[in-house]
Amino acid sequence: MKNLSDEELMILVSNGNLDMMSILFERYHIRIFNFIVKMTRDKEVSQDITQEVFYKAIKYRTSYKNGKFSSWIYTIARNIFSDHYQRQKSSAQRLDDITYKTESQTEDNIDKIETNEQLHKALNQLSKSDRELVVMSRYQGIKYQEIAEITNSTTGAVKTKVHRAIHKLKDHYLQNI
Amino acid sequence: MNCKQIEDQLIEYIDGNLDDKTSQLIESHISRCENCKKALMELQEVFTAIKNEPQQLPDESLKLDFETMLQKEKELQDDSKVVSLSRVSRNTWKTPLQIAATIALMFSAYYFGTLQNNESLSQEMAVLRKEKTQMKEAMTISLIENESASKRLQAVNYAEEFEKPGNEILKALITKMHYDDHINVRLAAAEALAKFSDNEMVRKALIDALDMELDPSMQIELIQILVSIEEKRAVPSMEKLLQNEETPNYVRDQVKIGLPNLI
Repeated sequence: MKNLSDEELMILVSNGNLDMMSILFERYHIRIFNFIVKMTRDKEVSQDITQEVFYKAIKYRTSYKNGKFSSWIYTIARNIFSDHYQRQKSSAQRLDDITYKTESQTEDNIDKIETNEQLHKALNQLSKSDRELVVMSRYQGIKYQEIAEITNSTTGAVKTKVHRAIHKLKDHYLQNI
Repeated sequence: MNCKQIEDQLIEYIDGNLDDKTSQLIESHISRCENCKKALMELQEVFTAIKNEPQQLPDESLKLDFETMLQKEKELQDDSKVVSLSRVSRNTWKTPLQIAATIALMFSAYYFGTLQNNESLSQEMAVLRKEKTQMKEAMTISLIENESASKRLQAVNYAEEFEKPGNEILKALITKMHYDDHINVRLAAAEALAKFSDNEMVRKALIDALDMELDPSMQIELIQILVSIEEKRAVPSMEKLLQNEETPNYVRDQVKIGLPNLI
């Protein structure tokens, strides 16, 4: 079973063989978790969201339609993160919340190395959509074409947007040094 | 190729996505041009920092929770009775809800009584709130003229937060979108203005921007905005882009995707 492709496994899942989801979980949960960690900077929340991604993948298994599995699962992850982000935004004053978050995070144990902190700070200065593009393209190594599938856009547009986001990140990063 | 074009290609150059000829062109340009060399090194520095960042591992509990969840879903699949159980449990909410409604009723009666007292207070609050908005506007405008591009970027992001920005803010944003030297500032200004597209001045400015703009990524952004706000007057400018031989293909593609939505 371990030799099957992601897509073959997911088709089995959508036909009712739920056990196959464990193999997909093994293959993907660390990547999805790291994607969300970069977006939220919060380990606890990221674990909850990752759990929800696989829960939704099982719940809505019949909506999987033979496309690339990784695009499908990332689309789910984005939607759940987006809901979470909206909830958080409406529950607290946005600006205050964000500054509080970054401060508490740097004090936190996550990263102690200085460059990492500068990089996180720069990442945090990007808009949500720019940050997402940088994370998907550079941290997760997802190809432009697949990002276009996930974000419902065209490859050309994704490429220019990613470039632009990286240049912004660079500007912020160098400014912080 | 000039420096601008080189800079646009640097990321693909680092990733090794360019053909040999273009790579060599860039290589020889960089050996001669200090600015581009610096830009390359800066990008490489950021990429190295990203690469050196370790992947994080979730707690063991994530896997255990997943397995528990999977078991539950499998039981659900076998046993359809569970559906009726959940319906029963929904009914148990009724009583607490009734109690909550009663309490809410009592409180609202109390607050209705105290409402009159608060009226003068809320007027004062309204005045204060208005002053705060004015101050924020003044601050944004002064920041937007700052020398540092990232300060200007910050100001544009502030401007986006206003629900109903004054004309002065809008004009400052429009000037930034048209004339700022820094592409990121122009882009951010365009993004911010897109939110206020109900305003006729803003719509006109967006069309003008597409006419003047030479940078492809900005062109793409503008085309997307103009299509999303269904601005039919932008059609001539878009057709002009299609006819212009210097327009890159991916910008043309964007026009071809968007144009049918306007006609």
